[in-house]
Amino acid sequence: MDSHNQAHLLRKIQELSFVAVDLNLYLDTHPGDRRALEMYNNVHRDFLQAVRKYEKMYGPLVNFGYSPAMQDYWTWVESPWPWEIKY
Amino acid sequence: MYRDNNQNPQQGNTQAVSYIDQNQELGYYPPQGMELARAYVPIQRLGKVYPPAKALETGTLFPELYRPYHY
Repeated sequence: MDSHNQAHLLRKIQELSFVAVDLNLYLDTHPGDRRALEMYNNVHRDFLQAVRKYEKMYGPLVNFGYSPAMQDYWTWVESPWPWEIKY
Repeated sequence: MYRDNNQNPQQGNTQAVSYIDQNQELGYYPPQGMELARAYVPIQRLGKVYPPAKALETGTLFPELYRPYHY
Protein backbone atom coordinates (compact mmCIF):
# COMPACT_ATOMS: atom_id res chain seq x y z
CA MET A 1 0.00 0.00 0.00
CA ASP A 2 1.39 3.35 -1.06
CA SER A 3 0.78 5.31 2.10
CA HIS A 4 2.11 8.54 0.67
CA ASN A 5 -0.43 8.46 -2.09
CA GLN A 6 -3.12 7.54 0.44
CA ALA A 7 -2.29 10.53 2.62
CA HIS A 8 -2.23 12.76 -0.44
CA LEU A 9 -5.66 11.61 -1.55
CA LEU A 10 -7.04 11.93 1.97
CA ARG A 11 -5.71 15.47 2.15
CA LYS A 12 -7.37 16.28 -1.15
CA ILE A 13 -10.68 15.00 0.19
CA GLN A 14 -10.30 17.16 3.30
CA GLU A 15 -9.52 20.20 1.18
CA LEU A 16 -12.50 19.68 -1.08
CA SER A 17 -14.88 19.05 1.78
CA PHE A 18 -13.64 22.22 3.47
CA VAL A 19 -14.27 24.24 0.32
CA ALA A 20 -17.73 22.68 0.01
CA VAL A 21 -18.57 23.65 3.62
CA ASP A 22 -17.39 27.22 3.14
CA LEU A 23 -19.40 27.57 -0.08
CA ASN A 24 -22.31 26.01 1.77
CA LEU A 25 -22.08 28.80 4.37
CA TYR A 26 -21.82 31.48 1.68
CA LEU A 27 -24.84 30.07 -0.14
CA ASP A 28 -26.86 30.13 3.08
CA THR A 29 -26.83 33.92 2.82
CA HIS A 30 -26.60 34.18 -1.00
CA PRO A 31 -28.89 31.39 -2.21
CA GLY A 32 -29.26 32.86 -5.71
CA ASP A 33 -25.58 33.43 -6.49
CA ARG A 34 -25.05 31.50 -9.71
CA ARG A 35 -21.30 31.71 -9.67
CA ALA A 36 -21.19 30.31 -6.15
CA LEU A 37 -23.66 27.59 -7.10
CA GLU A 38 -21.49 26.61 -10.04
CA MET A 39 -18.41 26.55 -7.83
CA TYR A 40 -20.25 24.44 -5.27
CA ASN A 41 -21.41 21.93 -7.87
CA ASN A 42 -17.90 21.61 -9.30
CA VAL A 43 -16.38 21.09 -5.87
CA HIS A 44 -19.11 18.62 -4.97
CA ARG A 45 -18.40 16.63 -8.12
CA ASP A 46 -14.64 16.62 -7.50
CA PHE A 47 -15.23 15.65 -3.88
CA LEU A 48 -17.36 12.65 -4.79
CA GLN A 49 -14.83 11.58 -7.42
CA ALA A 50 -12.00 11.79 -4.89
CA VAL A 51 -13.99 9.84 -2.31
CA ARG A 52 -14.84 7.11 -4.81
CA LYS A 53 -11.25 6.90 -5.94
CA TYR A 54 -10.01 6.72 -2.35
CA GLU A 55 -12.50 4.07 -1.31
CA LYS A 56 -11.77 1.95 -4.35
CA MET A 57 -8.08 1.90 -3.43
CA TYR A 58 -8.03 2.02 0.37
CA GLY A 59 -11.45 0.93 1.58
CA PRO A 60 -14.46 2.81 2.94
CA LEU A 61 -13.94 6.23 4.53
CA VAL A 62 -17.05 6.00 6.66
CA ASN A 63 -19.24 3.11 7.71
CA PHE A 64 -22.05 4.16 5.39
CA GLY A 65 -23.01 6.93 3.03
CA TYR A 66 -20.81 6.58 -0.02
CA SER A 67 -20.04 3.05 -1.04
CA PRO A 68 -22.41 0.15 -1.24
CA ALA A 69 -21.20 -2.95 0.57
CA MET A 70 -19.50 -5.54 -1.52
CA GLN A 71 -21.55 -8.64 -2.14
CA ASP A 72 -19.34 -11.07 -0.34
CA TYR A 73 -17.47 -9.08 2.25
CA TRP A 74 -17.89 -6.18 4.71
CA THR A 75 -14.77 -4.17 3.77
CA TRP A 76 -15.22 -1.64 6.58
CA VAL A 77 -13.37 -3.98 8.94
CA GLU A 78 -10.56 -4.45 6.43
CA SER A 79 -9.03 -0.97 6.52
CA PRO A 80 -6.71 0.02 9.33
CA TRP A 81 -8.07 2.27 12.07
CA PRO A 82 -7.08 5.93 11.58
CA TRP A 83 -4.36 5.61 14.23
CA GLU A 84 -2.95 2.57 12.50
CA ILE A 85 -2.36 4.32 9.17
CA LYS A 86 1.31 5.13 8.75
CA TYR A 87 1.44 8.36 6.80
CA MET B 1 -34.54 31.77 14.55
CA TYR B 2 -34.60 30.36 18.02
CA ARG B 3 -37.99 29.12 19.07
CA ASP B 4 -38.71 27.85 22.51
CA ASN B 5 -41.57 25.38 22.43
CA ASN B 6 -40.90 24.25 25.91
CA GLN B 7 -42.53 26.96 27.94
CA ASN B 8 -41.89 25.49 31.37
CA PRO B 9 -38.72 23.50 31.11
CA GLN B 10 -37.88 23.40 34.78
CA GLN B 11 -40.93 23.46 36.96
CA GLY B 12 -40.19 23.98 40.60
CA ASN B 13 -36.95 25.81 39.89
CA THR B 14 -36.49 29.51 40.39
CA GLN B 15 -37.73 31.50 37.39
CA ALA B 16 -34.66 33.26 35.99
CA VAL B 17 -36.53 35.33 33.41
CA SER B 18 -39.38 37.64 34.25
CA TYR B 19 -42.06 37.60 31.57
CA ILE B 20 -44.28 40.49 30.56
CA ASP B 21 -47.65 40.65 32.22
CA GLN B 22 -50.02 41.53 29.38
CA ASN B 23 -51.92 44.18 31.35
CA GLN B 24 -48.82 45.76 32.68
CA GLU B 25 -47.31 48.94 31.21
CA LEU B 26 -43.88 48.40 29.72
CA GLY B 27 -41.18 50.22 31.58
CA TYR B 28 -38.63 50.43 28.78
CA TYR B 29 -34.98 51.06 29.16
CA PRO B 30 -33.49 53.13 27.54
CA PRO B 31 -35.93 56.03 27.87
CA GLN B 32 -38.11 57.16 24.97
CA GLY B 33 -36.35 58.71 21.99
CA MET B 34 -33.15 56.74 22.54
CA GLU B 35 -32.06 53.45 21.06
CA LEU B 36 -29.66 50.81 22.20
CA ALA B 37 -26.70 50.12 19.92
CA ARG B 38 -27.39 48.29 16.69
CA ALA B 39 -24.99 45.92 15.05
CA TYR B 40 -24.70 45.49 11.32
CA VAL B 41 -22.75 43.23 9.02
CA PRO B 42 -22.27 44.21 5.38
CA ILE B 43 -23.22 41.46 2.96
CA GLN B 44 -20.31 39.53 1.55
CA ARG B 45 -19.48 39.85 -2.13
CA LEU B 46 -17.95 36.92 -3.88
CA GLY B 47 -14.59 37.64 -5.43
CA LYS B 48 -11.68 35.37 -6.18
CA VAL B 49 -11.26 32.44 -3.82
CA TYR B 50 -8.27 30.58 -2.44
CA PRO B 51 -7.32 27.29 -4.05
CA PRO B 52 -8.52 24.32 -1.92
CA ALA B 53 -5.18 23.57 -0.20
CA LYS B 54 -4.67 27.21 0.74
CA ALA B 55 -8.29 27.46 1.94
CA LEU B 56 -7.92 24.49 4.30
CA GLU B 57 -4.67 25.90 5.69
CA THR B 58 -6.05 29.39 6.09
CA GLY B 59 -9.38 28.37 7.57
CA THR B 60 -11.46 30.18 4.99
CA LEU B 61 -12.12 29.98 1.28
CA PHE B 62 -12.63 33.72 1.04
CA PRO B 63 -9.70 36.17 1.05
CA GLU B 64 -12.09 38.98 2.06
CA LEU B 65 -12.76 37.15 5.35
CA TYR B 66 -9.14 36.59 6.26
CA ARG B 67 -7.57 38.84 8.86
CA PRO B 68 -5.85 41.20 8.76
CA TYR B 69 -8.34 42.56 6.28
CA HIS B 70 -6.84 44.19 3.23
CA TYR B 71 -9.58 46.77 2.86
